[in-house]
Amino acid sequence: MRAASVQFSNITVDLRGATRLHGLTHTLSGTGITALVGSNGAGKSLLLKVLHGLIPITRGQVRWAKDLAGERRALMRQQPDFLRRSVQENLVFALEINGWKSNQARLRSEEMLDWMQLEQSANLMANTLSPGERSRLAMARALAIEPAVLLLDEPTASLDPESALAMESVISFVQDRGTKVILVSHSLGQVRRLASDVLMLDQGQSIFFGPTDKFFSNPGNPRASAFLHGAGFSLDEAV
Amino acid sequence: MLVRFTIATWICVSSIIAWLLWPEPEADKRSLRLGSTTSTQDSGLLDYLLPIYELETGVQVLVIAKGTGAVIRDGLAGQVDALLVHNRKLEDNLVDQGYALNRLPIMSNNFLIVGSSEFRGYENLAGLLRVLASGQRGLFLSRGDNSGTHAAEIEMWSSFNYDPHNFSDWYSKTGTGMGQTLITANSNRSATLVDSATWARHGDKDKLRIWYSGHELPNDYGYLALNPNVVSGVQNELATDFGNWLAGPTGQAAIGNYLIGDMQAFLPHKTP
Amino acid sequence: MNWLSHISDFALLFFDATLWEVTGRSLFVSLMATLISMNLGLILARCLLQAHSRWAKFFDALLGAFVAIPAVVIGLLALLFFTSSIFKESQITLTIVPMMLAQALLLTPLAATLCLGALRTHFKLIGEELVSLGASNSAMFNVLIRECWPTLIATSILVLSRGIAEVGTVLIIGGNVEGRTQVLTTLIAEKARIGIYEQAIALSLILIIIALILSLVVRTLQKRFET
Repeated sequence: MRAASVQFSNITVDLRGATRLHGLTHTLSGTGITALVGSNGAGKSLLLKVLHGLIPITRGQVRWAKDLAGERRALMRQQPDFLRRSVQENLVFALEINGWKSNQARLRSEEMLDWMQLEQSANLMANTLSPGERSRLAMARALAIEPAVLLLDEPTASLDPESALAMESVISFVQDRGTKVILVSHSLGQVRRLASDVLMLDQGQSIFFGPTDKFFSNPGNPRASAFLHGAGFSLDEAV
Repeated sequence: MLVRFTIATWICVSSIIAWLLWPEPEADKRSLRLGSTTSTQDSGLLDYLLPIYELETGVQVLVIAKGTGAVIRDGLAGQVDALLVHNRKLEDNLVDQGYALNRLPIMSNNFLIVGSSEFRGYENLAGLLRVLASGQRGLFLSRGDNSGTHAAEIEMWSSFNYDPHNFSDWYSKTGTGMGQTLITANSNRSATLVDSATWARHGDKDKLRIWYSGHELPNDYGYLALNPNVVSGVQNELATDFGNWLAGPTGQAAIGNYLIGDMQAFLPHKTP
Repeated sequence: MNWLSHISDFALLFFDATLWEVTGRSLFVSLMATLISMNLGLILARCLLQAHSRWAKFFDALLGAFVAIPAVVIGLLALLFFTSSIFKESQITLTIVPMMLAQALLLTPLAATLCLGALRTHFKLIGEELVSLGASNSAMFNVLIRECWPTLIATSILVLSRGIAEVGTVLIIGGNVEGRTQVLTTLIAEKARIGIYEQAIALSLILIIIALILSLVVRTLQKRFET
């Protein structure tokens, strides 16, 4: 049981001359799901990529917990891209890149296809899948490599409510088994259901960080309150 | 993947190069490299003659045809084994300087001055040249390319005390081969110097006619085998054999038999 | 029936064995040149794909400029090389080997630039995803090549077309020696120079047909790749 998963101090990211993240300093919870919320352009996806290591930090430091430090991290992007190959081959590719030998990769890919209910589409070209199936494939690909940290950028955005809930149960399941999940979501209901702590960004700056309950009841920041209001939330309501 | 492709490519390429370059002991030794002028090649004589030689001796003759100047330079560099050219002065120079052991006279024809069919020809070369130099008969096209024909043309002017450098704009250089120059002359009704074989081959020049055809403009072809003691890389035996054949009864008879239309194109040196 | 005899005379030209020998040689020389230049081009593309230094940018621009290098210049360079170095004594210029190598040199900038363009386009599409999945530089390159292989085939065919159509390089280094180094373009040049137009036209037709076939193959591939 870890106390904290990752601590970042004074994270500043400059891209193309503009500062996109301003001095973020927080310590995220050890085992619970951390949700990143905020309006568009706030920097949520950017922070996710920074935590994954895709984008270099201009200033500041990220320190992962001891048991997460050298481990695999998986990122599920908002618009996942696939290779011009079949669904299964895409999974096998991700596995082989991360060290799986081809036989084991094939077996594991079949496991994942089963789990995410994609066995029917195993041999279809990945780029011909429906948006919902693409999300499931992206999730399968992320989970296939047994990541210690799972970074999700709006994983249920293109899913119908039923599939979205199914995806949420997968996320919970994975989190229960010890994977640290950091989730960007536009659905406050989802945040309420899944997250243990919430980090809200506005124009690259952090305007709230704390337990989920506190976020929904008393965020303590006018912009955060306005955000909740705008989303149709009155304080203390469940969806 | 790129590594595999690279290795595969270079194995393939190297083996093909090896296969192409593998010295075939018998076959390649029996190829004579003959440096010839473009006019000789264009006359079609070599297409007629060389198969006869190959049938008789089994030796294949490769023709490397360029302008006389270029072909002589090839000879000096050992890129060809023998020369068949028509520039007496340069040929004699080569013998004097030891690059060739001797010069074999092979055949001859003559040069013609052709020009617009609007005008009549001249019996007298001096008279014709005077008229040309006055600019009254339109343009005169010079090859201007250091070929044997060009050299003969310069020689012609100087033997009548003209200096081509002083000619005004009725004198123009084309820099192209004989066939091309004739085409140009025909299209704009200009005059030019042409060897009789090429003229016979391209006599369909409807706007031109012969202005002068006489013994004052001979065109002699000589054969020089390059001296292996001075030029490295030449196959002297093949070269001398061919030279002897050309100058001998079979070669000379064949040359005499080569007709363009129904006219003999070249007069063999030794009429058999 | 004058025109009929003209046409039959013309058609008879196509039965001349030399014509086909020359065509075959043209294709062989240019195929080898294309193989070599695509290989070198891909190697250059690999080096330049993820290089961002000033050197790399300079070399990139240089490569682009060399696409337009005149064929005759390459021919001349090759000629000087083969007649002055250790090859001086050999009769190598009477073979098609220098022609293949010189033409490969001519085509490499084109191959490199086209491959680099194709790879860069695909990199923009899936590069970020590949990096986020953990792909190394060489894994990335291999995947990109696999992703755009139809484009690479089309590129090869374009390069091949350029090779078959050029005359400057093969003429200067090869010398148009009948039976040895004569190819379609140099033979056309020779016939046109002398004025034997019928043969030149027949040869040109073959060249055009080859070019059309190659172009058709490229288009079909591109269509297939659209899906």
